[in-house]
Amino acid sequence: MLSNFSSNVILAKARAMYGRRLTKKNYSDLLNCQSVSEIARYLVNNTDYAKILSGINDRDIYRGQLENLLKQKLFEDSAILCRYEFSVGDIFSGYLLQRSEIEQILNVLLHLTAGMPSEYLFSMPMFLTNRSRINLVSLSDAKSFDDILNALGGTPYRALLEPLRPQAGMPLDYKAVENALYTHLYGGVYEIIRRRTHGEAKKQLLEIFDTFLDLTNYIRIIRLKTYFHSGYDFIRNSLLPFGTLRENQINDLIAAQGTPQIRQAMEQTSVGKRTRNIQHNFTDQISSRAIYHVCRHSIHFSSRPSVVMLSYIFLTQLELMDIINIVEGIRYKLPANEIKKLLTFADF
Amino acid sequence: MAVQKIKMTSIIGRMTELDQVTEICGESEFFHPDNALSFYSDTSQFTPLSEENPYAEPLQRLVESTAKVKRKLDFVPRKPGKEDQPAPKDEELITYANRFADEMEDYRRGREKSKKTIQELTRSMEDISHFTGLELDLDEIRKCAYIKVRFGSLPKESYEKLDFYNENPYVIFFPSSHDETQYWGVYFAPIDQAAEVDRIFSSLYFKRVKLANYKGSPETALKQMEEERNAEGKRIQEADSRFSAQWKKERSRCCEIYSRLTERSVYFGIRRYAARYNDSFILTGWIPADSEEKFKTSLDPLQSVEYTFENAEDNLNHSPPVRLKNKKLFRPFEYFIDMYGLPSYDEVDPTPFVAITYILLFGIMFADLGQGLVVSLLGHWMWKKKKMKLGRILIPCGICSAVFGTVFGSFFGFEHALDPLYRGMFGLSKKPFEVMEPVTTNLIIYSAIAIGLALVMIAMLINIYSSLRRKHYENALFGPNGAAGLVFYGSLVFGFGGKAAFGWDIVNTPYIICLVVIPLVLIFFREVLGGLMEKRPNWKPESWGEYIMQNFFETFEFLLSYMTNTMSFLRVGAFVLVHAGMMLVVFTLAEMMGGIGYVLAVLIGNVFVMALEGLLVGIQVLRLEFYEMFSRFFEGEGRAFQPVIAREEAQ
Repeated sequence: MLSNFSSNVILAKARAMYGRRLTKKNYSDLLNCQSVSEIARYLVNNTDYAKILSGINDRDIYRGQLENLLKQKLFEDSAILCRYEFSVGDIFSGYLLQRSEIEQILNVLLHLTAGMPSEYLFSMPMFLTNRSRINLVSLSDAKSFDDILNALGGTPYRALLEPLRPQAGMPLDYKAVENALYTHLYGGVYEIIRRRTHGEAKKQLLEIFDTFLDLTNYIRIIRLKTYFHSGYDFIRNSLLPFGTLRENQINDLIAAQGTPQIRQAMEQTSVGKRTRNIQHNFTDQISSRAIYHVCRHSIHFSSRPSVVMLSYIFLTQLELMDIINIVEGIRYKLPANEIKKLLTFADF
Repeated sequence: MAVQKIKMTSIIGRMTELDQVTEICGESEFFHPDNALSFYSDTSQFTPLSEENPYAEPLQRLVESTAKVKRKLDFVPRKPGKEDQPAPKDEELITYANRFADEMEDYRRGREKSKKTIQELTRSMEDISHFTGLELDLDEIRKCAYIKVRFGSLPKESYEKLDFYNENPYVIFFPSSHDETQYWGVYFAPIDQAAEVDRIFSSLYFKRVKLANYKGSPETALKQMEEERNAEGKRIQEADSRFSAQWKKERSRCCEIYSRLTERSVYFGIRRYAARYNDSFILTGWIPADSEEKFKTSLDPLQSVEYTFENAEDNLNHSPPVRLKNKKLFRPFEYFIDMYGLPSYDEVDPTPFVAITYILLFGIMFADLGQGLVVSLLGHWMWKKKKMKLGRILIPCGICSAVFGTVFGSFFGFEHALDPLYRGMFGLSKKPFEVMEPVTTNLIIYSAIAIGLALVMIAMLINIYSSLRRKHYENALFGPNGAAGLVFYGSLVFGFGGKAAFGWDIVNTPYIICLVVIPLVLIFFREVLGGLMEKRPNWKPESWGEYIMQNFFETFEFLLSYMTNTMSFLRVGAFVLVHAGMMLVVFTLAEMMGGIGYVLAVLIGNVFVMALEGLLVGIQVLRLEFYEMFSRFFEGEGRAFQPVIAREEAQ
């Protein structure tokens, strides 16, 4: 009980940190930047990213460098909050770390599949080396799937990847690896929410994750059906086993022909009804925009520290994704209004 | 507590008249379009209209080009009485917009090119400065035939990663200088390995400095670049003055074209909500109920068009949009509701409740006649001059502060300045409330709790009314904020509170069983009871053990929230005391100074107290509204009624 009251400091701290988010003007100005260097310079001079980017040579910064620095800020900000939140803070900081570790494992597997495993080193974020349970330097040294398993020794990932070792002469089942890792990640999160929270906090936390994962599954179904014309079994195995969608609803979604029909089937579900009015420019966007709405409401009005903290983490992640999208858009010389369509935050 | 009555309208007609319909809808400025397909269960015969908006591109080009040259386009409404005059043709609008956008683009591109050249020259000068003083002969380096020499810089992180990389023996970097983030230096590669080595260094974010492009030494190259940079600066100045003259000449015409293009583009945008059925269209949307006749009159002249209107109450499953409609005094407080989330169409609009309670609580907590009037005037200025919505809220709050300030006898902190008023008007020997006296202090604290009790119970009553209206019987009858919760909370308040305050002896065993235990049991089993009452098939919990365990904690949390929510209102009394206390400090400091220092201390002290206390009280009352009251009866999941209005889209 005492720890719950002590956690209340999160409410003020997270909201104060959220108050330093990018403003509408910041977004407009960023869209008008002409190069990655200009974006970096703008972030240094006008936003809360100044501290993490201070000292960089904004003239010569590359996209990958900028992304790594911004991700580092997300880590550091979340770590500040997690220190105060006794009930589930360690879990959410663990969630962020696990997500990053999974991204690194998938990244090294992509390099391995492309036949350039040693070049994973170049994209490896150095700030993670001190925090991660994985020895990233060993991972960067891996030349085969077995080397990767060895580098993952002592972590739960090894046991997850072991059964997915490719047979000689067969390609790696990347999708299965991705699914196994993310199932492990979200399974842990759900377990903790169920065991360590209750009442309104539990309800609100579950709403955030359920909404996110329901929509993630929905997007996967659309993608796999539309772009890859995958069959029922493949799609079913590619979905994350979480969320509120019932078996028959998932079957309806998979059975529907074409995107409008899948959308219609989704609108029959409770999450579909709730998110029906969310404006989006392409299907993939609906998940981030829905989460943005839920988390923005929670960070403003929830009185549960764990919910406010998680909302802050999600909102910061979305802001980070928006900056990365702006950087990508500017690199590929897209017009500002086209880049704007890619953003989660578009109310400017 | 009102949400404006809305009607759903479906308009059907021939495709040839769709443009006229969208124009009428747009010009009405009260039509909120909605996706027509989502209103029908069988949409197999309908196709959405996904045509390209022909006005969007020229309009966007015009707006973007103007913004890029840092000029502003103003929306000019059509002159009243001249609506019948022939409007400019589409072709005329599009040609002008494209032509003027091209001219602005040319000017901007030229300017940007010069600016970029200046930046590049400055960068190159900076880069080269890292290699001056090394006595390099660039001509000699250019002569190397079998090795490639690359000067440049690496980020510190990449330089450190090189320690772990041992795949390619030619990947070696020789630093010549460094700072906290960057290493400058050189690498060499045999001519046949150059492409691979370059690729690897590129992955490490190597930034090349093309020193070999220059003749002589780095020092001579620097001098040459300085001269080129000055010439580019002059070119920019000349282009600026040429464009300023042209903008002065064309501004009004450009704004006119921009406005007409915006209107047509916005009206065309309504088409994407429509659906096509053979050669007919169907357009669905929402209009205020009181605009029905006006809307019909404007649609009637169209030959093929037919329309229907339905009450929004019959279409709740389509979540009708919400526009709040409140009396003038309450209207400013819609700002707070908008901030929290609008009510659903069938939900109670809490604006009047918020307005009354916010004004009252603010007045009590910030009670000072003089400071209240200043806050009101400040609010008036914020609203009239700065168009700040908060200003309109501060006006009544300040007046209420002045009223309670008169009751507590405080005028800019002078606690006895109003005594003559009490003597003259009410025949009192001194002011009625001496805030800092122990007896009054207790009264203030008890009153604050009483206010809390009353407001929490009113919030519960609103929840019961709202839930019954929405047929949420579980929430209305068995919820912690429903009838069961109200009986439980009320019986504790009247039973134990009445005993403590007035000596009522009404608590006995039947009282406890009927009014405390039974409501608590109902709250505990609210989901089961609600499920049975609403005939939900899944009313029975999957596991009774888990259900009881979970509800034990939840009920405990509710009980705690009754107590904490009520105690939270102590801050109302606390702020009355804080105000008196802070002004006491101001006057103590002022008296220590004396003379002109006294006047200055009172003046600065008042400004400080007004700013600090005004802000704190404003936030604290809002907190009470959102957490202590809204959480009991308000969901705020409605969507805003947003009619298509061209002039607003232009802003």
